[in-house]
Amino acid sequence: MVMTNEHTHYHIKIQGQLDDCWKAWFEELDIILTTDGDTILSGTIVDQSALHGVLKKISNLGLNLISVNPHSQQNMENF
Amino acid sequence: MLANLLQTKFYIPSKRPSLIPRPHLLQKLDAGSDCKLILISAPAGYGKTSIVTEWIEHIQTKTNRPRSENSVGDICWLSLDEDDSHPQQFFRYLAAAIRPFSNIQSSLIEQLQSPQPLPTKNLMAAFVNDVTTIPASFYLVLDDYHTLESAEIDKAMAFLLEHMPPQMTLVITSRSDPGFPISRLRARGELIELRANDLRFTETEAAQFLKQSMNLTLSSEQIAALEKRTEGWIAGLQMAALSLQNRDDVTHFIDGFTGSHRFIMDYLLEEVLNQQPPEVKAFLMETAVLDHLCADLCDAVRQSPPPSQQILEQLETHNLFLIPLDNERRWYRYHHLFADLLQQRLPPLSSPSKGGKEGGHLRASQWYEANGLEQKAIHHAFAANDFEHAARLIELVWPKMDGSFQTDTWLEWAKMLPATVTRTRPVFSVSYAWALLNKGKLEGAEARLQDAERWLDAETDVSEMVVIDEARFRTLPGSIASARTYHAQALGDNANTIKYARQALRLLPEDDYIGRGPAASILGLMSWAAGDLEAAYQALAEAMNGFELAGQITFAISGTYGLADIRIAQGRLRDAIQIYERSLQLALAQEGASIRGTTDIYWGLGMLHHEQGEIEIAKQYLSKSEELGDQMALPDWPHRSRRALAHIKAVQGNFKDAHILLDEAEQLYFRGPVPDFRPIAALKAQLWIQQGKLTEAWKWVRARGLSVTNDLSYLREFEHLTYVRLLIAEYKINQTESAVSEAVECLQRLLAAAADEQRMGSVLEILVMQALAHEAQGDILSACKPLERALTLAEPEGYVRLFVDEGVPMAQLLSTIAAKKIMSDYVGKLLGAFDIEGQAGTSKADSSTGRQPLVDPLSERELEILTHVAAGMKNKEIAAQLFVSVNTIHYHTKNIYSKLGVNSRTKAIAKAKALNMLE
Repeated sequence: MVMTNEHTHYHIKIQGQLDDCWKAWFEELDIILTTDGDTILSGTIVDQSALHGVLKKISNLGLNLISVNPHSQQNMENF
Repeated sequence: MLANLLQTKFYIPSKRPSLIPRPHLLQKLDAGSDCKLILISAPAGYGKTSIVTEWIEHIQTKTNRPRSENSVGDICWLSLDEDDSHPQQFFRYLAAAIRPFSNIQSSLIEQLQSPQPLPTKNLMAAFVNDVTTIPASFYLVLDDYHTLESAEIDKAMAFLLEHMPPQMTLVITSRSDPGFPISRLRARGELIELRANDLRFTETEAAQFLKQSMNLTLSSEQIAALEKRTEGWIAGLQMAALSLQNRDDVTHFIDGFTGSHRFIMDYLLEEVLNQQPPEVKAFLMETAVLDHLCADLCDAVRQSPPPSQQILEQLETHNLFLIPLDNERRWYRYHHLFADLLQQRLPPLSSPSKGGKEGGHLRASQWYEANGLEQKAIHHAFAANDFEHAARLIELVWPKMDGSFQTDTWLEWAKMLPATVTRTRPVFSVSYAWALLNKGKLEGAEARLQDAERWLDAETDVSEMVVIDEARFRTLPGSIASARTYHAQALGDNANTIKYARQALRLLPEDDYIGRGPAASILGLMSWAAGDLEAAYQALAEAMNGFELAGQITFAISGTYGLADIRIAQGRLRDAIQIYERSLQLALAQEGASIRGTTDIYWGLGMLHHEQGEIEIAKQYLSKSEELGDQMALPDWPHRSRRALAHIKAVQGNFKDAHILLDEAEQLYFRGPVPDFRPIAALKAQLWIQQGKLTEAWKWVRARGLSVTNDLSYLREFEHLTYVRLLIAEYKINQTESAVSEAVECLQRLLAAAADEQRMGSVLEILVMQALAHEAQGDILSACKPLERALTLAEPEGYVRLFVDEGVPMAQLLSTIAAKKIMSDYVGKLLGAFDIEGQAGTSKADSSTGRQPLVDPLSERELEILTHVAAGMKNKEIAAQLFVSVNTIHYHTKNIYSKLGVNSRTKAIAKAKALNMLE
């Protein structure tokens, strides 16, 4: 977990595929569909409480959360 | 206190007819009646609430008792939402939830009315206390616990589970495990859990559900495919079943659905919506913003036919995720998951027209306002992004929120408003300042006051100003001055405190009792601290009288001990007693309600009668006070009672306990507006002096920078008197000549200062100490002069302990005065009080004094003490055993020695044995 207050780029993986129309609901995070039928919400999340807000929305929809990973700007290319 | 609560939150949802029976889960829940906690923890859409409602119906059928009766199987229900995250609100609902079962007055409700918000632990302790009064076992269901986001409430819940009375079982449904630890409960077998794996439909259940409840004809392969795709997720299966209603291409649909990776709900909602008639589809979209629905509210939000009631009932019949919230078909809500899905499909908030979502919220806000539910109205105003409307509502609701101690919630709303909206609103700004002051946020408060003041300047163009609450606008200058008084006082700025308090009292209308009260109180306390006792008394009396006229009895009574203490400082014990007696009548006259502060009143009366030597009356009052305890006391009682008890322990010679009590009192002390005339450090120094530990006392003197040349003030008088006691002790123990002359000099100055301010209580204490200083020097003649003066002043008010607590030296001085036949009655009474103290608790027969071979036989009491001495007890221990002061024991042993003609303990014991006086 990155423990700084700086904005962090996150990849949040959810089971199943979400339509693009959920982008606004999930605070404009990018919705990326993976080949194995899952979804990655990707984008900058300002702080811990914003992150928890997104996780809460996932929980409210009954979606299965698979993983949450912070990515620094440098290793974005590796994605 | 419990007004304005949403009754729908207490409604136990009725069992949904479409549910299939799940006996294995009911069985598991049945085992929970012996547990502390039943936790149903699973993500959205797993039928958590449904299984609880099914189980409730199951136990009620089983026990065959209606739910209104207090008996096994009783259920209290509370549906939680985000607004309950404020502990004050949470506890208001909690108190109301168990109300029907609790026959006696709720102590939680009492605590919630405390002028200072209490820690949540205290509130939960009060709740536990209320639960113990419930005669039969019951379940408390907290539905949707995950909506609470409060570490404080989690901590309070942990406390509840630790202290839960046996008649209660807690049932929690939550989308995530609660924020309090449950592993210990699990290990102790005090927890029953249902989790996602328990709740998901098995293939058999899925088949039963689809076939029987939803009337679908499906093959077992199709059922298996649906079960696999939804993983037994009930909401998913229900949506799938709804999509399959009246469909010809079932196979095609199931193939498409099970072959897709798309989020189930995305896939299915569209299907479900497309199957609805256009007016139902429109209704769903238009009302998606509402977290509660009733026909009237829906009509107001939709502004289009057909009538909402008809559609609501239709949705309920078709299992379209609409849950009734009462049994009158009035209030409903959507299943939370379904509501989220609908809302996601609405156009974004930022659209320029006030149509769509924003318009819906705004109309909902207006409906709630018209129906007197301000909290909901404000919630929707914010959701509509209409800050003007929100500000209007928030401005109007302040007096109500302030009066019911809901500053926290109000402040949170205020902070959500942009400055451009709030700064144009002077009434709002002043409320904002008060709310911040209540929370101790001083800087922010002044800025808000200046925002408000800007508009009151005659030069200002007020065309931009917004005032909603006209009545409060008229008293704004007074309210601003009043807030500034409070502000200056919190900063310790005495000059400005007095200035603004006077200003506030000048500006506020005569009959604005609630407004004038705080200013008058503060002015009173300031004058008190400055030693202007009469002004202090007048101001405080005005404040308390005003509170009484305004019906704020607790506030009116909270000033009692201040008024009485002022009279005591003036040496007017009888007036002080009258003040307490009057308040006691006022408190007892409150029909049915027990008033906080009653404990303090009984204590005050007890201590005053104790001072006057009325031992029996004092005892009655003190035990009454003890009986009522913390519950009926003012908030600083735990601190004040320990301080007073420490004094009693010290008089009895129990210094160890006295020190412990003072340490506790110190920790419980919070600096309030009441001046601290007897700082705890000084009280501790007095204990050290009495114990002969002068080094410790000198350390305190140096730390406080005390010397005979200090400037004197009433606030420091007690410290100076303590210092003088140390000087006298120093002279007695170490024969330091300079010490006693310094003491005499200091007392002279203290006397002049006290006399100057007409503080006769202080004058008396100083005269007594002058006498003791001269007595220590062996100058009895000089000692008698101040003592005689003290006696003349003290007699009309009936002082006793003032003299008696000083022990042997005072007894000897009084004997000298008695010999001079001055004020014989009073002095005789005082000397008698030494004797009464000596005789209290005597149990032996009179005859024992008869067989003493002494010219001057030992008294009953002296014999008793001698027995203890012979048994090897220390004076301190004897004092504790006989409930008298250590000084009294000294006094008695001295007499015993002189009667026996000895000068030590060992010789006394030997002589008494020789004379066969000991059994």
